Parts: sequence; C-alpha cells; structure tokens
Amino acid sequence: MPASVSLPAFAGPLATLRWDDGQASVEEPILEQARALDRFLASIEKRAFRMARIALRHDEDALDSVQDAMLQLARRYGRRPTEEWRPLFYRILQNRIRDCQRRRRVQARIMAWLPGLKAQEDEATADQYAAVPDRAPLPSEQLAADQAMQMLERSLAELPGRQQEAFMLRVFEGLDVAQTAAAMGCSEGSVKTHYSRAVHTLREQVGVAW
Amino acid sequence: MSDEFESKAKALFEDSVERLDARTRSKLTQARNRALDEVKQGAARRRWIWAPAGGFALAVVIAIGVVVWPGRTAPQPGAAALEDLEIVADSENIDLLQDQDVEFYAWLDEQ
Repeated sequence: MPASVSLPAFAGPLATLRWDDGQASVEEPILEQARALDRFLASIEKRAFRMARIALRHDEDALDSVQDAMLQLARRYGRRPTEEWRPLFYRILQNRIRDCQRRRRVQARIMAWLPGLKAQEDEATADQYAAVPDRAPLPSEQLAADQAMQMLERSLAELPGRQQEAFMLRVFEGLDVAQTAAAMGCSEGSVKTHYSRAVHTLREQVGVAW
Repeated sequence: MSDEFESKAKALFEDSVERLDARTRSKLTQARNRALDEVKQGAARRRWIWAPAGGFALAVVIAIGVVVWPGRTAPQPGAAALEDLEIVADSENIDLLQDQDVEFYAWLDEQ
C-alpha cells in the first residue's frame, strides 16, 4: 500500500512525499536526491520568495515565479551536483521574474488601449486574502524595522533590473561574485559594476534615513 | 560585504523572511513538494525509457553468448540426411524419374 501521507502542507520537509515505503519502488539514490533537493529548497524558498516579491511587488506573481523555478530546477537540473543548485535556481528565478515583468509591460500597453477592461481585470485579480489579518499588532521596534524594510524595498524596486539582481543575490542571498555571475548569466566584472552602482544609489536613498 | 549599510539591509531582509505569513509559507511548501514529486516522476519516466533498451541489450548478449559459447559445437548433418541430399541433387536420378512412365509406377504401387 503506497504510504500517501496527506499532512498539512506546512507540516515540514518530506511531510507530503508519497514514497512506497518498504517496497523499494523508488531507488535509494533517487530518494537521497529528493531529500537533498528538499533540504536545499527548504533552505532558500522563503528568501527566494521575498526577493521575487521585492522585484515583482505582487505576492501571487512572486509565488508563481518561485514555484516555476523549483519545478525547473527539479526537472532539468535535479541530477546536477548539489553545489550547482543555488546559482542555477537563482538564474531560473531571475528569468522568471524578467518574463513576468515583460508580460506585465505588454499587458499594460494593451490595457492602455482598452481602458474599459482595466477595471474588470483589477476586480478579477483582487487578492481575496488581502483583508485577512495574519499577525498580531507589532511592537514599536518591529514597526520601525518594517518601515525601514519598506523603504529599502521601494528603493530596490526603483533600481534597474540588473542592479537589483546583483544587490539581492550578493547581500540577501550571500552569493559570492562568481556565483552571482553564474546566476545572472554575465561576467564577474559586470556583477561588480552593477553591485557597486546599486549600493551607491541605495546608500544615498535610504542610508541617511536609517 | 562587511559594510554597515549592507549588514543592516541583510538583517532587515532576514527579519522580513522570518515573519512571512503562514499562508505564504504553506504555498511555498506545496510548491516544494510539487518539485519533489517531479523528481520521483522523472525517475519513473527514465526507468520506462531505459527498460526496453535494457531488455534488447540483454537479448543481444544472450544471443551472442549462445552463438559463441566455447563448448558448443555446430550441429552436424547426419549421414543419412547427406545421402538423401546426394540422391535428390543427382541430376541423373531426376532425369530417370522424368523419363519413366508415372502411370506404370502407380499401377505397381497398387499391386
């Protein structure tokens, strides 16, 4: 009998994996690979979502991008050495983010010609969870941190795409220059240039307020 | 990246990551599990792709083994079979058969 465990989705790593326990239907190397991938994705998924959210400024689009990146990584690069996963994952994610931004620009152009549709579209895509409170009231320190982060997010969102990517991958994800270059698909020199410009701009905009 | 500004940016970011709401965490877990299912299904697909090829390779190995087995000797035609073949292949005998009266042989058979 397949051990199909239907625990809540947030119950933890491997909680909903459906392996045929004891029947050896899934070879040990595959199982080990799945466990390694599970650990890797669990370690980066929240940061990846936040970075996608900062770039796209939309929860659902950010979730879709992260999910696509996870699937692509598992499908195409799951058998690659684990140390290659991180730059590969972020490369896929950055491509998804760019695709989404491109799609939005096209939609915006179409909507500009069809103003009647815009209102309908906005109503259709309204977030049904937007009004649901999900945390307790924040203490004043937390509020200050939130405001500082919001300021950083706004400034990051205004940066050119490549500068934004370089900053987030280097600072938020902690990739080194070579890994960032692999994730961005450019040279290490370009990474240094983008990163230095991003830091300069952000420091001017939010550094003083902090 | 030891700059104070970058350290603060990193700390703020990590704080915001830790405070992600339950719904988002749940969706991320679901997405991860879908990706892990993909690994499992991919392995199953690869197994099905390689199974026929593996079966064919095994059949070829067995066939080669049967043909070139060291102790094996090729079947020799028996002496009687060789004699029959000589008779059939002998053109004189065929001519003899053609020249004789077939009806005579039929009558002889009935006696």
